[in-house]
Amino acid sequence: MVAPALVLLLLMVVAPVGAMSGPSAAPKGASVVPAAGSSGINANVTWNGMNIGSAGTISSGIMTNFGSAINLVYTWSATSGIGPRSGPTYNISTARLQMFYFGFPIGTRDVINSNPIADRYGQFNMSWDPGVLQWILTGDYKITASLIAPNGTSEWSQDFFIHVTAPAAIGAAMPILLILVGIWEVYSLARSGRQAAISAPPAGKGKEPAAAASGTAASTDTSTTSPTKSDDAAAAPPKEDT
Amino acid sequence: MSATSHGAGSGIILGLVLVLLAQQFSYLSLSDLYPSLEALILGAVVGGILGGLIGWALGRRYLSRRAAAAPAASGP
Repeated sequence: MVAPALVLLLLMVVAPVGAMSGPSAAPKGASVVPAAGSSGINANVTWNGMNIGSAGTISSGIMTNFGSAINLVYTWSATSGIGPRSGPTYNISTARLQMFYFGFPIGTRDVINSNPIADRYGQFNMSWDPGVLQWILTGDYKITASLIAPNGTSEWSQDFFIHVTAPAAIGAAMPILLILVGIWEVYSLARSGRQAAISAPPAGKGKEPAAAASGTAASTDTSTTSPTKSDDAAAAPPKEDT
Repeated sequence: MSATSHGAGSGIILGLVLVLLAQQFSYLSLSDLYPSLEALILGAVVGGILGGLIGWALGRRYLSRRAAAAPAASGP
């Protein structure tokens, strides 16, 4: 039971990988964004209207469920410069959302602006439908929202946590399978005492195998001495004759 | 397979299951790799030790009961 359970656990860890959809075309509402340096951007992202800045720890994670599409709005602006028309401009081509499990992104969602223009502020609108994930996962997950330049450089990113709820609290595949495996292993552990009877010798017959072994050794000794006896036997007939 | 090793095997699986369940019920975050691996290894080790002890104790109890029942069954 141990090996199948380990395989099942491994599958449950790996199964969510790739469940999120890949890059998507930019929605009509996404404004084109600007480019230039790095770390001079101040951004604000909302998750169904809630600011992700207030969900920086596990305990303050945003409660959500994956039963419906989630709307994210990325709003960014340059932090330096005086006035709306002064200071450096930035070229942001992609707004990215990544969901992590065991340190690996189990899904990445991008909103790409294929023709970005350098500017001092901009906005991306992302609609993410978790789809099949609602039937697989519950619990706390770390999400990273980032804004990326056309050359692939991350101009801004922020981590936050979400708390994914499932129907009836456990109405997803992972918790249900884990509970079933747990129940089976508790049952298996409770029956482990019987393994002692399988591995131990039968009651009252514990010394028989040893006796049999000594008997085998005795027969071996007999066989080794038998040539002497046979020699005696061979020598006997002449005595009888005499 | 002895009762101890059988219990240890079940305990390891139970330790892993409990860590994963804790994440599913929001008592634990498994988003980062190394803390997650630490939690899984800790769960497996603790579960294996406890499972081994439980299996050993259950095995002794089962054998002692069986030994006590054997003379009664072979009596007149």
